[in-house]
Amino acid sequence: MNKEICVIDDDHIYQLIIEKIIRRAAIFVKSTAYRNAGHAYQQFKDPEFPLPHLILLDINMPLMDGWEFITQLSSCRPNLKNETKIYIVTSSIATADKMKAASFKEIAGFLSKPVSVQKLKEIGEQI
Amino acid sequence: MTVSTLRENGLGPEEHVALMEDVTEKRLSELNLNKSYEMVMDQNKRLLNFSFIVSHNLRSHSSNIQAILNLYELAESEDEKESYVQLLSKVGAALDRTLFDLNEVVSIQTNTDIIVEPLLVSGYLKMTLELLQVRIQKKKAIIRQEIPGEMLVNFNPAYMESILFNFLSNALRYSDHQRTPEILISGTRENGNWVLEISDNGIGIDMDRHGEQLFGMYKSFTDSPKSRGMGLFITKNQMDAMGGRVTVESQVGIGTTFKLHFSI
Repeated sequence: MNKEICVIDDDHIYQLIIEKIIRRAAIFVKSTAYRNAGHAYQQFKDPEFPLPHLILLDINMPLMDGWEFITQLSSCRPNLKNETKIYIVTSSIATADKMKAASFKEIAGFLSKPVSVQKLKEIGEQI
Repeated sequence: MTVSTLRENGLGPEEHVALMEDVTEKRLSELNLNKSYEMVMDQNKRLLNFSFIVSHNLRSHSSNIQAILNLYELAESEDEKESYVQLLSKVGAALDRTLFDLNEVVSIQTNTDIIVEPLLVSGYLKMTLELLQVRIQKKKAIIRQEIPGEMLVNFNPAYMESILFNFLSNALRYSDHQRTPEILISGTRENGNWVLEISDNGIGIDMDRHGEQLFGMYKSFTDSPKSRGMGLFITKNQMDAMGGRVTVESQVGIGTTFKLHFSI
């Protein structure tokens, strides 16, 4: 299967790092990156647009944060949960964020940064 | 004052007793108590916010460092290793920036014996506008000043410079390119206190969405890499430290008005 991954995070250094981790994991044939969740939303809100298999989503971002991204996107794509796997990837270790993530049925998992190559491999193999 | 009626044998009132008590002190201490309660709550909120910043923003750097080191260990060539070292130095610079910001915040909040003197607002405004002259010309902005000559406020000079510069550079930066930027700076008295108003016809702020976080640290609401979410946070802290207040009114597509309420 040709697996695709997308990373939504405003930290440009993290974007450089995760790009290398993705390459290392050697599971995904294509990866896209957004530093602005709003831009990703504009692309993804069209129900015809094929979603990547895995989305790594940050929470704390200016303009549109991770929560808002999921809420808005799922209102355009009610079947979001089955169309893609969304993992929250954040530097936050706050339990409040973890609990909030658990309340979203669209969220497949919660990862605290850093994400290791091994962990990404595991997740990638499951989807 | 309390008045009680004394009756005898269920007949009509015999006499009245009036008790008068001066409650001024009681009311004053109540007011003081309320004031300290608000102050403590406010401090508590700032502490929470600060600990959030420390945990979130410092963690984002430390997790980046960890991730890079993990990659470094897996690296297969010298070139690849070299690229990770370069990434590390980027994290180093970003971390330094964060620590600088945090230090600035702490120094405002702990500086209790900072110099406060009467400042002539029109003079400081003139100085700030000179600093921003190039940007004003570039944007072809119209600046209108209505600052009374007698507008003197007790304030720290460095804070005054920083606050004026911040609000005016924001007003210029977030101008709407579809119209000529107009900025009105005016001074008025409200209940005996000076209020400085900075009004622009810029892009405006979605107050329903961002109102609560507007003055938060690292809260930025635009796409611009220049917007780091420090300006309004610092200015609000400086205003607070001087016993003043900042209020804001804004409408998307119309403009924004910041009001600086100075205390006597």
